[in-house]
Amino acid sequence: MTQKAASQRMILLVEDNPDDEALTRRALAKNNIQNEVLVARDGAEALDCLFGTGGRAGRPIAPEVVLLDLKLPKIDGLEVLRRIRADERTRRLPVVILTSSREERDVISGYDLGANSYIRKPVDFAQFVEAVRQLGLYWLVLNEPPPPPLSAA
Amino acid sequence: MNPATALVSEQRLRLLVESVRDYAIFLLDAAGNVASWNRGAQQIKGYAAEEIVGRHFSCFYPPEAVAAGLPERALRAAVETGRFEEENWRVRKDGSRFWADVVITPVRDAHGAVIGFAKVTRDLTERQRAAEALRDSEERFRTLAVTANDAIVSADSRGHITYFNPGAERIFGYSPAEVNGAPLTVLMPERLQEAHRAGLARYAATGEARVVGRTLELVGRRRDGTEFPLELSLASGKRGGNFAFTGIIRDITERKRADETLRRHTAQLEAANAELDAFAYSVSHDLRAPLRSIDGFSQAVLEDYADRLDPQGVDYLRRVRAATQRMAALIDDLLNLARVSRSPMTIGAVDVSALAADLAAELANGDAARRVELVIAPGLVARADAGLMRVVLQNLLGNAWKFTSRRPDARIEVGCVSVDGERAYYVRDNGAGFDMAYAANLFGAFQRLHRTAEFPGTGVGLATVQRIIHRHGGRVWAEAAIDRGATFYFTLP
Repeated sequence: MTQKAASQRMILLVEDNPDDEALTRRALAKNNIQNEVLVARDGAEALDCLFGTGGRAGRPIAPEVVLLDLKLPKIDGLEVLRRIRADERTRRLPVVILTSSREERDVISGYDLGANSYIRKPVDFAQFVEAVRQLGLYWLVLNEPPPPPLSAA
Repeated sequence: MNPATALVSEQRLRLLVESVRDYAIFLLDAAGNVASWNRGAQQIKGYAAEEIVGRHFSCFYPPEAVAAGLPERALRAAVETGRFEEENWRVRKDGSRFWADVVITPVRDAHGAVIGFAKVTRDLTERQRAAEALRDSEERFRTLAVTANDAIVSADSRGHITYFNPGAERIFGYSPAEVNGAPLTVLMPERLQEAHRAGLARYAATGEARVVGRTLELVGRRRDGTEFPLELSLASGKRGGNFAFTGIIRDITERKRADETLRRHTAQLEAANAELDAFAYSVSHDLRAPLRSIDGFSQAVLEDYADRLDPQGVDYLRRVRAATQRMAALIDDLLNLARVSRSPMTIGAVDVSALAADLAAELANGDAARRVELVIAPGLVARADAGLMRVVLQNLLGNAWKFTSRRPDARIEVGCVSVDGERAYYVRDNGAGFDMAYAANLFGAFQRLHRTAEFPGTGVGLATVQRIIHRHGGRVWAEAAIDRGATFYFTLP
């Protein structure tokens, strides 16, 4: 129970590019967003984090929000999203797609698979900081999260 | 025969003769004067009995025939041979001619002396006309069959060839003499012959035609044994109680080859498009990521190490950031340019006036400090793809907005004029304009007529506009003068 309470404010950042990871952390810090950030560096690792499998066997996390990149090694972002929505434990989990692409098919597929939001990372870092500020405000403060699953899983 | 019986018999005969309508049956006296008249005669020749009885029968002949002595010759021939018959022109009371079948028989007394003639005339005009029409029609079809490029082959109910036109000779390499009477199977490869025989037998037995009245693609065999693809249209008809078939056969070797080439090219094009698609996708994803790093870390240096940078160092980093952002804009514009070429088009009615007003409002909202007079003609409707038309107007209005930025009395106009009978939509501004000497460069990608410091831009906008208008089959051009504004026109057929 204590473990779950601790992880409830957590952000799962699914991002394979270390530069982007550093910049995202910087943008969060600049906005005084103190939540713990767990980084998954490919799709498989993201699923392990959420379902307590593989390297995180028995230690699933229940983050407040998932920031999901689309182009990922091993399992791509859309597939990660599909599996999140297919699982009883994570089907209501807020997932924000945060990606470079603005290709229409990615946006459509993202929403079709049940993304809660789709944000394109701006090149201009100042704009990116602003986007992260609004993201944090919305998903970590304003948004009422879904209740945690009842099962003891 | 007693006289009373003879009288009755004669009366009957007269009644019979008088009532006949389709034949003129009448008597001439020995000199050739009309002695009796019947209904048919009145019908065909137009005279009533009282008008004609007593007149010489030569009045039934055309003048040139009378001049040639034909009436007398006819009577003489009848006397000499016992019967004169001819088909020739005759004249009605009203002067009109008709094609007649005429029989003249002499009438003799008990002693054999000629006392007159019986004359039977039939109007053959209709039959003649029908025969001529039939000849014409046959001639037309014969000409058609002889000159046709296609093979025309007829066959009887047993599938034996009865007609083989020159087109068939050319295509199959047989002469008509070689194949007349031969089974149709000589024109087919071995493997198709059994199906043909079965189909023919089924048709003969049940009348069930699976191929008649349709066009099908089959394989033919030439005299030299080579096979070729053909298209067959088959018609069947009954001739004298038996079925007969006529097939029109077209050698489609060339078409097949063209189809195959087209198919291969289409496949290549599709592959190239898919590659381009993958390329654009990769650009969209991967080319921007390093730019984010360059911009982000430059900013981080500016923020965290500002105290250790002199003004020049700060300026350099600002330039780095400006360049990355410009490159990001370029990538986006290029992707848009690629997208307008690839996206499927749905042509429909587009309310150009409403769209322009919408986009102008967006521009005004994003730049509240500007005062721009907007004049949009009402009721402009174009047939175009709505999404692409939006991109066109977005670019043209965006340019007009941008290039009027230094004018306090900026004015942008959207309207439509007739140019060489075509409707040309236009976006006009009174901004910086450009030198028409460089107009040819205007629509090329990355072509710019202004320095970036003057007016920002990537030089892709008008290339995008042109590509969209060309995809619609229209034209786009501009008229401008330096500092006196520019007008961009486009047509949509």
